Amino acid sequence: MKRKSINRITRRTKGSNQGNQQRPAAPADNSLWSRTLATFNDCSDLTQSSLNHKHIHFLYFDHLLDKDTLNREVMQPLEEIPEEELSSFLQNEQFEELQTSEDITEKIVQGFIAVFLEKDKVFVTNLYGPQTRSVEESETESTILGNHDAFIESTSVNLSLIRRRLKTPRLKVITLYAGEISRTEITLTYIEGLVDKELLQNVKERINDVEVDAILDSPMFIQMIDDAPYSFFPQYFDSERPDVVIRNLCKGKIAGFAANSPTAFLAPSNFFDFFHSPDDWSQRWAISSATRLLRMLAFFITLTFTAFYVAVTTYHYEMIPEALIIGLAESRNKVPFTPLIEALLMEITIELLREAGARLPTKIGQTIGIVGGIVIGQSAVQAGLVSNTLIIAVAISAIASFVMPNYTLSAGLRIARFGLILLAGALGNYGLLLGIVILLIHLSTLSSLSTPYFNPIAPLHPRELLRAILRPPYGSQSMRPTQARTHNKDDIKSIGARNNE
Amino acid sequence: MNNRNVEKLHPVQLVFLGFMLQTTLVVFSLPRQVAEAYGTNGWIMLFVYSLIVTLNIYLFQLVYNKGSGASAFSIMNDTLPMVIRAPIYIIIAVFFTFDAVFISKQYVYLIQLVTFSTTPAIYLLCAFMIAVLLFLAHPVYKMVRIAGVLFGLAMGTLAVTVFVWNDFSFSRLTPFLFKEAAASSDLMSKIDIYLPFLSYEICFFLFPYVTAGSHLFRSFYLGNALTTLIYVYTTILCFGFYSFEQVKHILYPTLNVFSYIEFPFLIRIENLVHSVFLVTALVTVVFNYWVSTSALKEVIKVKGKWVIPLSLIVLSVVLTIPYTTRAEMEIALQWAGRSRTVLMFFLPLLMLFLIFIKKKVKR
Repeated sequence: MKRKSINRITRRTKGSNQGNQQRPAAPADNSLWSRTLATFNDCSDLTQSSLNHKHIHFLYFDHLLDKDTLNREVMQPLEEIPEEELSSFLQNEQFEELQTSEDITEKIVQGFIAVFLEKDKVFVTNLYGPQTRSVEESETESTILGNHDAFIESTSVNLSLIRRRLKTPRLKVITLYAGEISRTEITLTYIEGLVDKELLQNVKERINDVEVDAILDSPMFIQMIDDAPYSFFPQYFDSERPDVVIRNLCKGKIAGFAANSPTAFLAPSNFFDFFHSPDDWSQRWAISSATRLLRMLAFFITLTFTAFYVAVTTYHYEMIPEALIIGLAESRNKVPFTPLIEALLMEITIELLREAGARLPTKIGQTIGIVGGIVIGQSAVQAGLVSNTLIIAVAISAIASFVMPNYTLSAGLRIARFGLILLAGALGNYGLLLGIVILLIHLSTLSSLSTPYFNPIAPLHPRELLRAILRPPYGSQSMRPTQARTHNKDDIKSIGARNNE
Repeated sequence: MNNRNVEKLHPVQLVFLGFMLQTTLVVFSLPRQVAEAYGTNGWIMLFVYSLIVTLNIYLFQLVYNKGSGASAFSIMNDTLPMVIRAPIYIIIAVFFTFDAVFISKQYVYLIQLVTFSTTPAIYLLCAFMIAVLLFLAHPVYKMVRIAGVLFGLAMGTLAVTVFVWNDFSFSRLTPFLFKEAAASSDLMSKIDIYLPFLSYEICFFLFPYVTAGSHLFRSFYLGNALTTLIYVYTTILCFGFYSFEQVKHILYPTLNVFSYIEFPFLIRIENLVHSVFLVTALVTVVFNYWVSTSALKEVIKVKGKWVIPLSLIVLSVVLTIPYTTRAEMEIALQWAGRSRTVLMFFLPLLMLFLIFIKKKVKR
């Protein structure tokens, strides 16, 4: 279809090509047009256009707008309709009339177009639709079975990924704003009837209390609404996957997105949520349960294995069986350092390799693996700087840390591990246990959105604990967990009943 | 503060707390103490001690019921003038503080004896006290929650003893009752077997934090039953694992049992077990300091949350520096325990008397 040519003049605002020579422009008159333009002084990306013969002027950021919609819904109709029908066209519900330049500028930065009639009558309409990437697979939460689509940097696409899976009007969406300069949209979703109203109010209050200049993504934002900002344990579970979000919404939790972030956060969360992977729900229950147990073991290994090596080789040699101690003594024979120094040396090297691997492009990253694994590892042993046994201990700890499905938790544990190594080096098993106890004290008293973080261990809910550690078969899951304080505890039956309503 | 955010004490958590308060390091030496005091099959007497504990808890229950759930402090505040009640609060604080520091030192001396023979005990004690302080910094409902988590660690360790069941033999037990007690056994050594059961009396100070749904006393009766069960189990295990004469001569028979357990990658796990039993000592010590702090807060009004607990810890550590040997510690603990036993029977009786007076005056 041939598109009609539109008789309009479009230009960038003053200063687009003038660089430093641009001077602040004083409003030429006191009209809304002039005042709004003055607010956007030095904003070279602002687009002004006009339909001169009808005395209509437009102000918008063309990179925030969907250009097809702009042409279809605003430019073309305005071009075509007679001048006397202009007012009635702008009275349509998609347009909103604004009176002050402050309101107009706020709308323009949000992706609205401002239509000025005679420079003093202003209507705005939402045409927000910037370029976004398409829905792709998550790189941080990849799965073998199950869904492969993940959230992107567009809240509307993310909400669509949720809505297309939850076809119920009970799915509610609230939009709040945070960030003094960025005025970032924070979108909260929940299922009415499952969510605890008090917790919802609590999140809203926390969001409203946030006082920062800019919020750039969800993982950054959730640290601002934490219960314990100094803790190195993440207090809200985050995910890039719609299936994970929906599973948690059905437990009565609240999901939130910061605008332009592909990550959703789930509130409240508990420690065991971080051990669950989306694959658990796609696999048969037995293999999923075994994998969860493996992850728990990995948690324990990554936290204590190197520290235990240090404690045993420094203070408790008698704990090693005779068959092993000869080999261990031989491998430590050449090493001039104490086990503590030896372990710290190797752990820091691993951390350097990990950080270098994360920062470099994939192709160079592989080289780092070779340099780290073969060159440093083997050479360090041959040079007599570290023992073979320690390399095994450190490597097992590092591999175990990769088993954690959640990166934030895994990163937190790395810090805790160093603490335990130091304590084990200073006080042996006593120091190690002292460290573990302090860690348990911390975990038992931590809270997520004012609910216990170590639930269902503290407070103890034996059935829930079993469900957190193992993944029971689908038929046997009947109650919603207590974490989200949902009043609707009856799981599958109530959802079925609602669907039939 | 939002009331829904303040968790009520749950009965299961209170059972765990009761167990953790009562079970201390004495579990390592109890079989020897029982063998010395009562001789063969002395473990039967543990049930008698358990009954006495039950009686004492029943006295607390009477105070709770007669006083309509009012705490000991509020009953005294309502009935006694400051001149009389202040010394009582100070006595309570002193008793509980010294018990706390002696239990800490007892644990530290065990660690020193087994692993760190050349390290000054004060360093080990300071490390322990840091954990105490971090534990004590939380409100009581969170402290009870922590005790529940640490319970899992202690019970998990005791469960490892199933690996020595193969070496347990009934032939080492005898049908004779209370024969061959140590020559040194006297009435006091028999009374001292009661001391490992102490610390259940903390429930007396938990009245303001419980509701009817918490079933405080039922939980503590169950906690006491669990402690008795574990004490009886470890004692019988040692009696059937070693010969009777061996039990009487090993300092820590239960701990020694662990040294016979071997895993493919690990042996002599008693080195780990005594470290894990840090948790039982820690819970008892922390709640003792908590009672002392609560008692002192009734006398001294201090704003800072850390001032009283920190001062108590520092003061008690400094004042007990002269106690440098395990034997001195044990004597100190015996006397602290004995006087505390008397205090814990006297205090509920005093409360009942005060409640009676209060009601009479009202009438």
